[in-house]
Amino acid sequence: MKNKNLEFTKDLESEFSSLIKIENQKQTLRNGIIIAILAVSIIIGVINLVLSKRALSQTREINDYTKTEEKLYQTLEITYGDNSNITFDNINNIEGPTYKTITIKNNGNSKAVFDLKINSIKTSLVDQNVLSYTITKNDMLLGNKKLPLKETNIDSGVTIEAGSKIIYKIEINKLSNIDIEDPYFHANIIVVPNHNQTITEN
Amino acid sequence: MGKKWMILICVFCVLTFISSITTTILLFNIENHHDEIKTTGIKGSNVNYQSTFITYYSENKLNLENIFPGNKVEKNFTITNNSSDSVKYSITWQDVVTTFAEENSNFYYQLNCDDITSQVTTMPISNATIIANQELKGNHTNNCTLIIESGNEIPLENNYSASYIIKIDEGGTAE
Repeated sequence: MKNKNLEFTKDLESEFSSLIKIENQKQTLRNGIIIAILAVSIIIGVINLVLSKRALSQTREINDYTKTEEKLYQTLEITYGDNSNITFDNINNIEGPTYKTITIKNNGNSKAVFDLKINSIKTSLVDQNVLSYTITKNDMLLGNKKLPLKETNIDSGVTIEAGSKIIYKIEINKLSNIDIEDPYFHANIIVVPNHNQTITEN
Repeated sequence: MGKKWMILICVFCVLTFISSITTTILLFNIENHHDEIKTTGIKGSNVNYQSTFITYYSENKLNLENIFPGNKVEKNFTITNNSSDSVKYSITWQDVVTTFAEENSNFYYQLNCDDITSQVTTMPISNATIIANQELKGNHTNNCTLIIESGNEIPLENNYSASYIIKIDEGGTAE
């Protein structure tokens, strides 16, 4: 009887041990899955950390760049040979041509765009066929025209490179006498910035 | 480990996994956007142009020969700031060539501008500053006259030549 009990116990132990073994294997598998998921999560977390750090440094870099302001100077030095005025008190008394020289130098570090214009015109003339002008730019003929009776650009949208110089020479001539009382013509030649043209730096 | 706990951990892990994947995708998108900004160019949007016109209504040079008592020369010029930012400028005497051995109190200059008038100062015998770091506000023109005069007790037969130079400070604008 004692031997039978012993055998039964051994049989039970043998069967339970195989069940316990299977259960242990399943538990190991479950634990492995959990550990694997956790490991992947940790790896992804580390990647996220690295990428976030890079994104942050790049954002800072961009922000620093946007805060940096590049200043370009368009410094034009305009020198009139003999002031900027065109003054004819009595046009009929004009003898010979009148000369005007304008030297424009760009002392800045960026190209600039300007207009050369005749403005502040005060005249008793109603006919444009009395006075004419010839204009050259760096000794190249720009035109031979009638002197305007209202504000006019005589050279428009002129680009001057940094460090370069443009010399305008204007010769004003009387075309004919005019039979009116007090024929006078007063005006100014001025240089004004031209903001209509976009400057593209290379 | 109890079954309930196991399920809870699994759910937590799966959620962490999904959120991590989502975050990774988002971060990759952020990186792509950054690369796009860098290559296509914020560059250029921060360029600030400072336009200044210096106009001399006659040559910015003095050529005085045989200066006599009461000699007076006026030189007109303007400085125009076409930009909205203020700018700083200086005016100096340069290329001074003279027969004066030393500065003479009977030969002097004064600068009269819309926004500043200098003291009467003897003409220098070498390079010198007329005004320095003067501020010119944005969209403003400063009309100036430089007056050079000789007094009654100036020694005769002296010559003086020099240039007056206006320089815009490109080191930075005034605050």
